[in-house]
Amino acid sequence: MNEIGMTLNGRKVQDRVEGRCTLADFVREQQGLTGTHLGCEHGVCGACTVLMDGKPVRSCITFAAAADGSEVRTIEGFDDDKVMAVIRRAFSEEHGLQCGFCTPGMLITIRDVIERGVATDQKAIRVALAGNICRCTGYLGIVRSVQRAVALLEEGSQQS
Amino acid sequence: MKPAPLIFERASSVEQAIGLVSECKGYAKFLAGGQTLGPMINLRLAQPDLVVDISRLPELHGVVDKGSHISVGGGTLHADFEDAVVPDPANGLLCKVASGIAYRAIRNRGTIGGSLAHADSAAEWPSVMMALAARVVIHGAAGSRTIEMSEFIQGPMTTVLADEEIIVAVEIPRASAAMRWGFDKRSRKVGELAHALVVVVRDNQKCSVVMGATGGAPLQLRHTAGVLADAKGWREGIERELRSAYETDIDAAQLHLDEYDRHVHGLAVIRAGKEAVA
Repeated sequence: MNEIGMTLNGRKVQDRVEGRCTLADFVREQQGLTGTHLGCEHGVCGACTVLMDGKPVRSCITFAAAADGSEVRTIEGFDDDKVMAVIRRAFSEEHGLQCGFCTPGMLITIRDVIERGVATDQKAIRVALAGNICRCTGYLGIVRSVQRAVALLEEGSQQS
Repeated sequence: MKPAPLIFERASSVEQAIGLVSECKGYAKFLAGGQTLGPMINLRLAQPDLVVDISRLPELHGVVDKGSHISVGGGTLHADFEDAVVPDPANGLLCKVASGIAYRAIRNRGTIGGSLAHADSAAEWPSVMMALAARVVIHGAAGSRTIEMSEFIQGPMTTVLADEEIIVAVEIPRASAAMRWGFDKRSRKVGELAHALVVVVRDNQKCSVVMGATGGAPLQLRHTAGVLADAKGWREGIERELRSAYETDIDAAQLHLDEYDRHVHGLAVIRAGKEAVA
């Protein structure tokens, strides 16, 4: 067992984990944060994407013990995030989800893509989202949602 | 799937990490970014008894400019090359290559040292570092050594690394301002490992062409490099010469490719060659 501590969605947590426990299983099973979804469990589907020290990572192939001392943010940790609020609104307006399984990973990835300024056109958005799989195949709505979010954020920054 | 039980230790120094692996009676693995080993452990294709996390060792981070080359820590992330946080001594090649490795979430964890140690020729760094004549700095129980990339990889996912050795740095030669490169990766989907991969580096009338995704070690295409070394622009007939030289290289290496793979790799040769010459 490993003794670990991290800041999880702004809250300090201390816990004991098995060496083999992944960050995804830790947040879901031991911290009750089931918004992080597990699809493939080998790093290709993107559903489990969380922020670790501000950067998107795959929580299914990151050991919980490797996240000791980090700041981790799951989809439950964005309630007061202005950019995420806009992306959520755009997802609602542009039908960016069907079943919703891929959505937590999509939202976290998209927030990073927008913040890094790489969502410049449809092709760039598709390339940037290649690591997040939607098995409803709702990509058209997802790409439109990103474009809408970028437009809304630009409008917002012009008004303020 | 879930990993089999294992002991996870985070090392606080390279020396301690080497000690932990050396003393382990079972199967021990170093874990850098874990972007390949992680999936292998989840799929239980790898079942180490001990995993030693080396991702945060200060000795594996940082860049030193040594004039003729830069030395980058083995723990340098793909994303650091992509974002040019690390200076690019190869006129933009490293930045371009890094941006195509898997997905951003993977690039935020995956390291150059880990990629080289894994030595999958369908990954980018083994072929690119070979084409740039980089050197690998290794620390182990018996001391440290520096190995040329061309000697480092011995076969499919096989290197000269002993179990308790760590890649602490990669020395990447500084290219001249006139150096031109070409890089082409073919895969069915953005972010996948390469189906075909070719990198061309032309500097001072010397040319190196390396083909990845061979199923074995990355392959130096010497005849192909000969055609590109003398080329002055994308002249009439060069494509035919390149194809013929590439066929000679493939046959000399006794690489058994089916007709389709032969074609796709050949296409990558032409595209990378054109980028480096035109």
